[in-house]
Amino acid sequence: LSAESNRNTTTIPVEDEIEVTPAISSPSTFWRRKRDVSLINTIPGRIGIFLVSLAVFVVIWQILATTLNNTLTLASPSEVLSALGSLFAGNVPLAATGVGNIYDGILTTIELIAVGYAISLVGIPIGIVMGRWRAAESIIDPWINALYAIPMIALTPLFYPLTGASFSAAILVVFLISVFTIMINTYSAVKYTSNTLAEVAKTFNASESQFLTKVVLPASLPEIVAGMRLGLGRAVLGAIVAEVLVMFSSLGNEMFTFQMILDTPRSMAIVFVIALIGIIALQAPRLIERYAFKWKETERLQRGFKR
Amino acid sequence: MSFVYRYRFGVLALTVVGFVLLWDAYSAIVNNPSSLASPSDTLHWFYLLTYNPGVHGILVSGLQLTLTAIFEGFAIAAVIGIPIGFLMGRYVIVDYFLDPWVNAWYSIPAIAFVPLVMNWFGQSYTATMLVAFLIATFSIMINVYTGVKNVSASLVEPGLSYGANGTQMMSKIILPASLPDIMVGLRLGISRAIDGVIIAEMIFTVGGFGGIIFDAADKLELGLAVACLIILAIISIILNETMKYITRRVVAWKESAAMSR
Repeated sequence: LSAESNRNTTTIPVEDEIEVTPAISSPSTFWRRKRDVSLINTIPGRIGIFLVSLAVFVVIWQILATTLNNTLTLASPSEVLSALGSLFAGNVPLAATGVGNIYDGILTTIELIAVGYAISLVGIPIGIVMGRWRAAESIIDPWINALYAIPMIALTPLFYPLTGASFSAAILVVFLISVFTIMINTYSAVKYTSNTLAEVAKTFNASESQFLTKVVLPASLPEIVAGMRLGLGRAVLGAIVAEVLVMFSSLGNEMFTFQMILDTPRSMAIVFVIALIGIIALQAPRLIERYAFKWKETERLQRGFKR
Repeated sequence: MSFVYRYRFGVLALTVVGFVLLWDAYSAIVNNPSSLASPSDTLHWFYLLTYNPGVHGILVSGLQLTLTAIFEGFAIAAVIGIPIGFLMGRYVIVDYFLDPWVNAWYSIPAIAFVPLVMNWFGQSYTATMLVAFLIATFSIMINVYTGVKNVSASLVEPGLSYGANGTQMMSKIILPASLPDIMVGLRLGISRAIDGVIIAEMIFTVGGFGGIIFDAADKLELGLAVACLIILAIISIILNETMKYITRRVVAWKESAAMSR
């Protein structure tokens, strides 16, 4: 036990680095007050309540905008909508360079996220190696823990003098921001593979490679994928930050350029587009996960406690 | 028990030395102080940061500004995020009403808040603090919500059968049981608050640590930028480890449960 606790002080417990993914509907939530809410538990009811909350949000925004009555401070929903329309009509050049349109900007952003994120998937094999071999863990773990805690965004200005305002500098930022999240999640998932599974594998005399491919990887897949999702969210943040700080003629830069030329509706429209990219990047994988890893969810519930 | 594991602290020291040597060698190859700072440059700036009154003053005021912004933004985020997370976990109707928004705002890259906040408050301290708040609060909210919502039935059932009322359920069962998740939320919240403050300061460049780093890199004083970056890294590691330590103290029972598993 002492050796175990000793290890625990140098490494992180599972719950630590993984943001909790909400269970869809677990029996443990039965205590929640559901009086008079049978209607909203149906699918039309949920859609209805979402529409209501959407309407409330837009109305509050509209009221705020009319009270302030200052387009520079807060553009009203209709102004932002028409700005979005004019941007997506494709005839508004990007303000910073005067060439291209919003589609080019979106494509650049997506390309940046895709390339940087693809490179950062190298975190998965490194995480597996760290989770399986203690020697590798003891060398790499302190570094990763430290690098993960550092706001990588602060590194961005340093790449500018090294590589110039280039696409590759931006990719480096995206990579550095997302790789450690992916690595740490893989590492802790592999390291804390359930003892029950490990013991069964040992009893049946599984070789190391069998143990790895048939037990460890399937068991830790949901958490690896959760790490990939969190990494993707960070990659989006990294991409936009990199665009603002090291790249020109990109979505991130436009947001500030339009703001600086006091075109608040267009600036807010681009904020909206960026927000949408972030939401899609973070929420779409979650939906996929829910359906792909239903077995994991049930297993967790059967164990009687979370995680 | 392998050799590497037994001497892991020595190995760690070796990797640190190896890293510095590599850095030194690479900066010797690049051989251009205005594109890559060498370790000796950085060391020189550390010396200036400590002993040169002017530079030291900038450092201290920047540090103050950044740390207050982080803590203030984080505190407001916790004060607002925890109750809302609780309500969402407790009442289905609040959950369904707010869940799409919380998830959506949580997914928005932090930097997208900056121009909005800039419109309202200019390039000010308030704006920096507000960016930190906006980023941290949704992370806290989601974790509190998940923790409260998923409190194990085996804990809630005895409470119900012994006729606990709402307050008792909340204070004696739900709060302690969801504390681990709340603590995780707070820790993630503080690291997100650091991110937010640094992003906002880099864009505003009115002061603070992010501003100093951005400014130094802009003026090609890369040694200063790297030195500040190292200080910032140490601060964030300290904050992170402090939160981990508090978590371990507050939810010590959880740790032991995980271990006996």
